[in-house]
Amino acid sequence: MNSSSLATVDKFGNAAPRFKKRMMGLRQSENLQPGIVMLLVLFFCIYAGYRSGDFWSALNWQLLAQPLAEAGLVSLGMMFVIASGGIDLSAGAIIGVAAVTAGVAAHRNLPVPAIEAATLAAGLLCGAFNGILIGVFRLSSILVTLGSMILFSGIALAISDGNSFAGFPDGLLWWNDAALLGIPLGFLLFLATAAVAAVLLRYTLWGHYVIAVGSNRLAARYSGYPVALTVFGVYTFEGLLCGMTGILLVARLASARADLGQGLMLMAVAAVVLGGAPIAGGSASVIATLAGVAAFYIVQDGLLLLDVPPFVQRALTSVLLLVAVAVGNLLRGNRR
Amino acid sequence: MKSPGSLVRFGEDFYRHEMKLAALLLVLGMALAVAAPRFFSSANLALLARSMGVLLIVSVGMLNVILSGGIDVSAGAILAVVSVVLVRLGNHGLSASTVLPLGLLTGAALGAVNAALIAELRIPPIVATLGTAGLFRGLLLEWTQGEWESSIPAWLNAVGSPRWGGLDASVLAAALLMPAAAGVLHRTQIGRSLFRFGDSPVAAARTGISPRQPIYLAYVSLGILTAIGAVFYAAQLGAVQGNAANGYELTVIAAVVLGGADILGGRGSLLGTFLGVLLLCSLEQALVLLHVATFWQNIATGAVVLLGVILSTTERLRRRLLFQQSPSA
Amino acid sequence: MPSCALLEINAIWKYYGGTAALRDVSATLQTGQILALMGHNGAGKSTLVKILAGSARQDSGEIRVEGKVLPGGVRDARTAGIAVIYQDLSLFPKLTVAENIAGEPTGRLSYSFRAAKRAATASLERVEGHSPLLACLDRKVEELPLAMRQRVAIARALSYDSRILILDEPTAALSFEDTDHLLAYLRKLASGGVGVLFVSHRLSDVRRIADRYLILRDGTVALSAAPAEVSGNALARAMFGEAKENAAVNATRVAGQTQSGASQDVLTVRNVTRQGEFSNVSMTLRAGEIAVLTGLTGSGRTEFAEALVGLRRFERGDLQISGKPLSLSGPRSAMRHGLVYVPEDRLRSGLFARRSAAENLLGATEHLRARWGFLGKEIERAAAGISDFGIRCQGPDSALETLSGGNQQKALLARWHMAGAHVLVLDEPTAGVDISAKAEIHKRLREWAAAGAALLVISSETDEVLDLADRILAFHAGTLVLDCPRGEINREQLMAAMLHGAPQAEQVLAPPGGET
Repeated sequence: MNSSSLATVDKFGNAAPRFKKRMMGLRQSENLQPGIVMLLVLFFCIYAGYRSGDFWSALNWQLLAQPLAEAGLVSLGMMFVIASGGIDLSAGAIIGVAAVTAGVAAHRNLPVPAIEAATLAAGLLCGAFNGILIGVFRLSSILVTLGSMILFSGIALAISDGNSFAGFPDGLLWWNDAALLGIPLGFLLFLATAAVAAVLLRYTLWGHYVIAVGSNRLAARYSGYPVALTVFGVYTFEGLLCGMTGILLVARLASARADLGQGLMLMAVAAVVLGGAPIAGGSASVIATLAGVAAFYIVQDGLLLLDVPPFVQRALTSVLLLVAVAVGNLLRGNRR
Repeated sequence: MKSPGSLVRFGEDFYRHEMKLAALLLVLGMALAVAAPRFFSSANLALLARSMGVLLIVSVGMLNVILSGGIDVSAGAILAVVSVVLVRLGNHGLSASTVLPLGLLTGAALGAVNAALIAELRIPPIVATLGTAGLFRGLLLEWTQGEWESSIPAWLNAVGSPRWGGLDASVLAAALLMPAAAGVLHRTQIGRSLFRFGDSPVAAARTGISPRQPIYLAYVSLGILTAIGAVFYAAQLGAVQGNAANGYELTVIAAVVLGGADILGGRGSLLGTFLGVLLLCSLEQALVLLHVATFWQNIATGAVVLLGVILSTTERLRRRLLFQQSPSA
Repeated sequence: MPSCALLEINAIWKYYGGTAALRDVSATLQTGQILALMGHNGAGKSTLVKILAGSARQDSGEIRVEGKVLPGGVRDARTAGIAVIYQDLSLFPKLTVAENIAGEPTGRLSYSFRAAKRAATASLERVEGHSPLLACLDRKVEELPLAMRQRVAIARALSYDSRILILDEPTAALSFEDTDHLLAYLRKLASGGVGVLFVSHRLSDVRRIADRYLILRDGTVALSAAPAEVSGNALARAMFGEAKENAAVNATRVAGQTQSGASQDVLTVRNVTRQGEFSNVSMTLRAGEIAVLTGLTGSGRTEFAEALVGLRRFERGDLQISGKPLSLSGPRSAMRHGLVYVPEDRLRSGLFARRSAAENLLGATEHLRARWGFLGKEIERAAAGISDFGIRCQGPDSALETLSGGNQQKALLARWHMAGAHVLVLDEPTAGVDISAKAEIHKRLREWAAAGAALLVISSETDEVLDLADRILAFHAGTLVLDCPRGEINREQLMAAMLHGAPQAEQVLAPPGGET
């Protein structure tokens, strides 16, 4: 079959300019977008710092670091999911399940490592549930995670009976209190995880498989890649990261409720997309995702310090997402 | 082949999914007849109908969007915005004949924003509507400052009050809108262009269907229908607030998908959507009657959605095996 | 009475970015004429087709249909009577055949399934008389086999009184029989006054049917002449601009330098059957040998090949690899035994279009060599493989989809070569590949076999079959009717075997279009 007439026509039937040679990195196809995003954020930081004295204070960044770490962990997981060509709408609900699991475990006065293990296991199991349906049964990820989102939130409500848990042992709250050289521990954990994720993505077989599956699932299968296993792994990994986020959240808020993760799913998707990854999959970059997460939180924080009303913050960060994606499209030459 | 009403099409296996769904409903109905016969009392059925009204109206719009191959997660935000607009303008003394058109216009405008982002800027639907959801919601919350509006104009209240044996205007509206929508979707060129575009945008472009037409049709119609739904939503609730209908779009999507619409576009029907809404609302109603706690509703709904997804996928696999196509992932 | 040409292309220029895709291209198509548009990838054929179809606009120059200038745009082209049948057919898979044929936007507001069906029936009867499509008007297009889908596409094009039919690589995926039907049909249409523009790589098809050649190279017209005026060499020169050995001409060359003598049996199947597809097939693949499997579509050869690698299951019979009886469950388990499947539709099922060339070569290398799942050196090896294999691209990082069809196929083959595959089933490896790349690929396949691999190549092109094979296998209606060394059979016998099930010398078919 003649390749050129098929390959360069996008969803709208437009031909990408045939003679424009695109240079693409081995993993990250959209090299420019995260750079542009960071540049915009930098300008914003300068502006915010100029307008508000507190912006560059150490306290500001310390306070920023923890929520950023939480969102960052989920975003890393979401990055793999999106790279594999799927999406996980249930991420927030998984965090909720993990959080209330921690609450129950704490309630039963289990030792801290046991609480942590239970929380991680809860996230892992939820992720595995998704992974089986999507990876092994090959169901649509949007539909499965839509259903599992409703299911998991119900489970979280059932476990917690609608209540909020409190009274967590100091060993757990340590995750929020401890800091190394002024950098909160949770943030360091996040950075370490990001490093691991980068290695996984670029240098391991599994990372290669994930990208291949997202790029062309059929070709991956015909090339003998373990597609089912790869996809299963992606969602399970995401579940694990949600569990970790649950621990950090609980440590920071010193309480656990079923709806704790609400909003983090959208944030994660937005961060990954902001970093330039195509929503259809086949491309991912840890740095780009980090840029996306940072962009959102820094901008939100800055807006807060600039006394922008909180609801408008939300509106503005949404606009940021839209602008970034539109610009990314332009750069990629999606328009005729 | 004769078509009994505008809700049905010819074709051998076109309605297989819908038939399965109907069978599932039958099973549910039988279970309820045994476990909670009160379900079938006229009072309860009226209540059920009332609970379905808004969801049906908005689902029709979401069906259009999904048929076009897209998705819209800002529907809840649009619903909230329009309901607040209606109530505030109404409370300011403007008459119904001014407020209602303005409300519809708002819905259409918000839908047009979505459509523009998708058609002009080529932003993928999930990202575009994720963004507009945050944008609309944020601006709305800013406008209402998170407060409730607990008094609504009298005419709005009247719209939502039950009459005709427990039914209200939302049921009537849905009953009128659904066949009309079916007529447009299945019987007009514009409606068919939606199917075509969702099925294969490339082929549609080559046929001369510019992507603008189906996209604007889909998202603006969703906006307008959501606005209509907002009227009844506000009327039934009796109060509105900035966080109204948070996550509502997911219920709508679940209903449409349960009804057999292909998330990739090009396949779906009004009948299926109706059955999907019926299933979800009946389930909720039944669980309430059985005095089941709220979270069980979530679990049950989630399980039903997953079941529906599994069912529809086995359908696709079965079809492929049957026609001996080359096996693909 | 001077009659103006049916279609006039006058001095068309088209730029994409800074590069000229078309440079001063002019041509004419007369009523009832079949014009073959040729040129290797990147020459501008697709661009020209898009301009004629109205989905792209030229930067300067004009198109005239029967003397009237075409303003541009899909609707105008349609109204003027131009219909394009793209390679990907551009049908609506989830809609029915009737809807695809007759459900076009007509400018009327309303739409009715019954009316569409009636219109489709009327159109089919008018154009074709008995059409097999009449029986499946209510079937969804995605359920039909490719050849039928193509007929739907053509029926659609004809349903609105097209006077100019443009077909883009219509025979690329068709079997002999279907190609024959198609070409005959096009002849019939042409004699009825339709002008046909036939874009193709396949010289054998083009030679059978073209009244005139139009060859593009690098965006300009390199040759515009009647077939009688053009020799094989002139043709090749026009397409490539330099003297190149035209591999297709050498049909009598004896293929392969494989050693005779004890070749070990690598893959054996005995009495394998899949109901409705093929029955009681037994064959052996030997190391160092290229076996070419051919047959008409529907003869069972594709299904058989897929079953060999585990994509379908044998209902009866057994499979042995290197003497070990096996039951394969899919490409992955096949790979574990060194058996690799190279699918026909390389972009859809073999390659990762948006990823880089180097990444596509990674393939399964790491599967065999990576330690602890780490890739490390593999990426460099992949990049090196690109130059080793003569894959022409902008560098190892360039996206695969920017490569020409031939280079893409080379990349796919390179991947498996580097992975050390030694039993390969290749389905139409040179489909959509230009002539020079085809020759290179043939060369590599021979080298591969000479190094000890066992290759089973599926091909529909008689030239290729005769050129490449050490052994020829032919399917007919689900059975293996031919299994013999290349030297023992000639073209006529081969075609007879495929068409009638036996290589009877009496039922000789005249070799198509001139001797090759």
